[in-house]
Amino acid sequence: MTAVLRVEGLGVRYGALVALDGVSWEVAAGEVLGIIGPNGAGKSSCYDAATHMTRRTGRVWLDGREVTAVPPHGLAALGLKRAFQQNAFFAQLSVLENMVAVLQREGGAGLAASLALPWREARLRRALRAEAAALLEEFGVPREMHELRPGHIPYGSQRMLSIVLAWGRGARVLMLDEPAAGLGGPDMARLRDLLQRLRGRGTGRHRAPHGPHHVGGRPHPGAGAGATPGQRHAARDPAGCAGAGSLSGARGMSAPILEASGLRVVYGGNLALDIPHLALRPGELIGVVGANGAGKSTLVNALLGWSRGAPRVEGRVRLAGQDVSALPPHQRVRRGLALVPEGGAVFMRLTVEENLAAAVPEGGRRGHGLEEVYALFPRLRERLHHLASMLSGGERQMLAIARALRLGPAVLLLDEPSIGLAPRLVTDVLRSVRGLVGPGLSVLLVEQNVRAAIEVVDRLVLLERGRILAEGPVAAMRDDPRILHAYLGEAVA
Amino acid sequence: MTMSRRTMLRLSALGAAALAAPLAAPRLARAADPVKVGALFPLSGGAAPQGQHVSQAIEIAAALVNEQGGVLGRPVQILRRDDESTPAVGVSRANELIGEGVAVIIEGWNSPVTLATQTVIARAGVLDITAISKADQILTGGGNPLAIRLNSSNAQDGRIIAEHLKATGAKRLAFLTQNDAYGNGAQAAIEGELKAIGHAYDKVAEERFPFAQADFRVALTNVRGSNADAIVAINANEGSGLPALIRQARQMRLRGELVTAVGTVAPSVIAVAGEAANGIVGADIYFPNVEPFASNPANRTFVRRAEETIRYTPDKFMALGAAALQVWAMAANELKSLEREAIAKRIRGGAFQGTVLGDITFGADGQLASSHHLFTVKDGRIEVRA
Amino acid sequence: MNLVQQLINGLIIGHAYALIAIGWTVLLGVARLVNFGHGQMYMLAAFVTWWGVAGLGLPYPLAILLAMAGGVLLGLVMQLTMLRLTFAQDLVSIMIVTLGFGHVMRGLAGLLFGGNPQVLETPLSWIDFEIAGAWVTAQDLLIVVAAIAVFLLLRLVLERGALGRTARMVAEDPKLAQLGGIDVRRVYLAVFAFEGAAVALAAALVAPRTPILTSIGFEEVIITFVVVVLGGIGSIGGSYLAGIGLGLFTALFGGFVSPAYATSAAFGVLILVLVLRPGGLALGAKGGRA
Repeated sequence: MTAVLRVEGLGVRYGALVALDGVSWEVAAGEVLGIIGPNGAGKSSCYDAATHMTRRTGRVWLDGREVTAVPPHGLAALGLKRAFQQNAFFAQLSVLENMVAVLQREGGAGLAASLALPWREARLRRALRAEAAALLEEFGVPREMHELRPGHIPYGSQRMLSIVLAWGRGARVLMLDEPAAGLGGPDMARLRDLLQRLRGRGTGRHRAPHGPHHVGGRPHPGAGAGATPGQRHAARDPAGCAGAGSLSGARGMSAPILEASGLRVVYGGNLALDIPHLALRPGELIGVVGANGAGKSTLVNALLGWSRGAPRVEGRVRLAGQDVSALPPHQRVRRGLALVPEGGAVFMRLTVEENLAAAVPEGGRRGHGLEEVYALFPRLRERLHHLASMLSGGERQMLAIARALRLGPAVLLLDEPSIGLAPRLVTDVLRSVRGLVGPGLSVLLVEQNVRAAIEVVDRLVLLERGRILAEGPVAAMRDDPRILHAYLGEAVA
Repeated sequence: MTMSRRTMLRLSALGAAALAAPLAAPRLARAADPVKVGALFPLSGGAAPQGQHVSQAIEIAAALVNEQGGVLGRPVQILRRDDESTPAVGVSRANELIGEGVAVIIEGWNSPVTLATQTVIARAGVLDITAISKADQILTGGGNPLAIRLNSSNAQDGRIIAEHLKATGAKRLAFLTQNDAYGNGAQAAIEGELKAIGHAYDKVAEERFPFAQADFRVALTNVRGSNADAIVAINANEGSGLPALIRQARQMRLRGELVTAVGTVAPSVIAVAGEAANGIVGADIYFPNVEPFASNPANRTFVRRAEETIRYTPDKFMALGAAALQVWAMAANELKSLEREAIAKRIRGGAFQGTVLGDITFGADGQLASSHHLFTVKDGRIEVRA
Repeated sequence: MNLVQQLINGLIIGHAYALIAIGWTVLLGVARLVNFGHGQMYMLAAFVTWWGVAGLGLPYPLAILLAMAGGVLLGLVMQLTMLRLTFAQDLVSIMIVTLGFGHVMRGLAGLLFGGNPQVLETPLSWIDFEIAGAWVTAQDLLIVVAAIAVFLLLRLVLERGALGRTARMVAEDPKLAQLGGIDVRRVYLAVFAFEGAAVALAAALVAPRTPILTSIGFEEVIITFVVVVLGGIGSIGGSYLAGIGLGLFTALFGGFVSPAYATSAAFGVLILVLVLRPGGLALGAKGGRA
């Protein structure tokens, strides 16, 4: 089998940090190559190097031709396409317009022709729109979403959109960076089907997944030099491995530490959340689960009165018996309610040390000391003087959680902490969180990864379309068919 | 609601008559209709105080004319507009005035603005009298073939400065010149006249600056280093630039006599410059209380009226503005017409008696003939040399 | 000999430029905001100082404090009006709103202080001495000393320690800063109040050098813009160097070529520097960290 894409001796250094050293691999036509490895192993760096998005040593061949000196857009024109770990689209354009823009780039009319022959431009545009709509549907972005802004469609669909935007009209090689990150059951199934279909079209493909068992392919362990061999992100569990359902301290009938009543959130005319009542008791760990778009992030954001958008929020939120509904977010934080939002809650331009130092508890609270945080996440001590932008996705997640702990909250809201973490790390982190829960700290955990969440939570709340479908102690809920149905989708794995 | 054809016709006829009436009615029936005169000068920015004063002077002159019966039996109405010392703005305001139906526009403080507006005003067929701007191209450039200018020309000004420099024996000369049509023209005129009267000199420093500049320390450092006998400052920014230049020159202990261009030092300049102004030399074509102006009845009336209404003794610029209006009014009343060509031909090459400037004549090219007098500033006041 | 004197001129002018631009440096560096009413605030502060000295008969230092107090008030009023836009980081609207404020201020100043030029007389302007053949007043020296003092203070406060961290966090991601317990609203108000105080101080110290008119201000904004962009967004040290550099350039170019084209030439140099080094001089703030 001749290789469609071959890389040899790739090396990437960020200053003194060696992210990649002497990596070589190749992928043949119709093949799926999986690149796996723990956090910080260098998977994304590998992609960056292959697509020439960063300074690197080494050589690259595409279809037998050496393309080492070709810039990224040149590589795209030659058929080497890449989708990113974070979703990438033009937030101000609609989904359809995004797709049209990509297709137009790949062979629409030039500027001069557009100006000179407006009718030809109009005809071409119509054709492009039709083609774009068809492509989007094929890749799993249904027609109802085409006129929406990408930021307003569910996360799983955003992922699909990112992939089809990268794909464009087609590719010789499609590189997917953690495509399954943040996807739930039905979305995962769709992705799997999609990849099989694309494979049928005869392109080579890479993925950098955490779970190579999801899609068939040949796994190639990422040989990064970043992590010292043998060392893993073993987050120690000081409180011992507390199993799910074990009680710690006095709980049960005490007054709720966090209570929401009549919580409604309207996003651009749509009712995104409608929760008549939700309560978190002291020392409790509640897991909020649900498919993408169920309203989990909306819920935790609304509890804090915070959002990156501008939704209308109604309802009451009580923290330790006090009504905080009228307080701005920073005041709720000072009263002891902390949120680690989805997708990276650190300051890129500050170092790890500064990020941690900036998180100081107020109002007489006692936050986690630095040593405790390092004990929980030793990796942070190693990267103390690095800018947060230089950390891997997983390390940033750890830093974000560490920051929140430093604020000494009474209630900690975690929004999808497992995104970007290797499965083993997910377990470690969730277990650490479990260990921290006690009379002084209660946690509300929003999680895609139901399996991992079930292991550590006391209660489970199932959201669907902004409403609570079911809730109860985890022992009762774990076998509830509604979870399997609503969350994992029709095809139960 | 239907109406008979007859009613319709009657109504239409009435409507048509109503619309046509103003067009049909003869002009004579509206004798009280004022004659509009445009006054286009900088009312904001560095030259604002001076521009305001000139506009006020024109209004005073208009009031005096109206007390004598107005122009063609009609009162004169002055429309003020601000040209912001900027050509583009001046053109825009000139168009506004033309749109208002003015019979004449009296304009011009900054030469670049005049050069821009005169073409526009001429093309609209409106009479244009340039009161203060000095650049030679105003008369020779062709932008306005019927140009009239009251302020002295650069050539005339150059002569008196050159004669003074020759009289003092200054050999090493430094020039601080405003970098535009006026400034460059003035300097060229002075140097031309120096050669014409046969005075040998060394140009030891030549610094050009933009009109709006208020900090001259860098240029003055060079001038000081050149060790000049006389420093010729050509700066028409009477509001802030010229006073600043004078103050900074004194502060830097510049050696050599500071000679200012003709007509740039008005009492307002001395007020802002303060003590630094003492000792500077200048020249001008009008002083309110010095012969032959002191005994001119028209001037005395004008000066008194100005002191009463705006509590300010008129300076040369105001006198020029007032004279412009007077000359135009006299010509119009004599010819019994407001027609541009007729009046322009009467003024150009013509003579007038009893203006605030006295009995005056114009050259065939439209330039007012004037006599120059040197002065020195002593104790904060202008002292004309005999 | 001329060279030394022009250098001295340039240093004084440069420190004046740096001082005028300091408000914007913090505004842009901390809050990622702009203020196109900056020039008019300068003009108003100059006139308030003049009125304090000439109208109320206050001693000069008191008049400076009066102007600074006015600047703080003005800054707070502007930011309170614009808070929603600031939060939305709607830069275009902020530009237009501050520009509008500038025009309002200019009109107000015209009504309050008239159209006549005034000279801000200070006791220090009358004390002068000769340095290497150039005559320098005590006022000029005060400008230099004040500029250096303010820059050092800012560098100390903003580039180390808690305040600096807060500033950088708010600059990068104000929403995320809220989650860290920071009252971002208060930070924005403080930053704008500082801008008002800083530009007022600059006006009170620098305006005595030339006659002031209610129509000035435009040039000050241009200078500030050049200094801040050249110095690198958010870089305190860079702004200082850019200010000095611009002052020296103005003096040297004006002295040895022609003052008439100094501004055009300065812009030419700005373009050249930005082409070669798009981030500006950008010293200090993000030094080389391992």
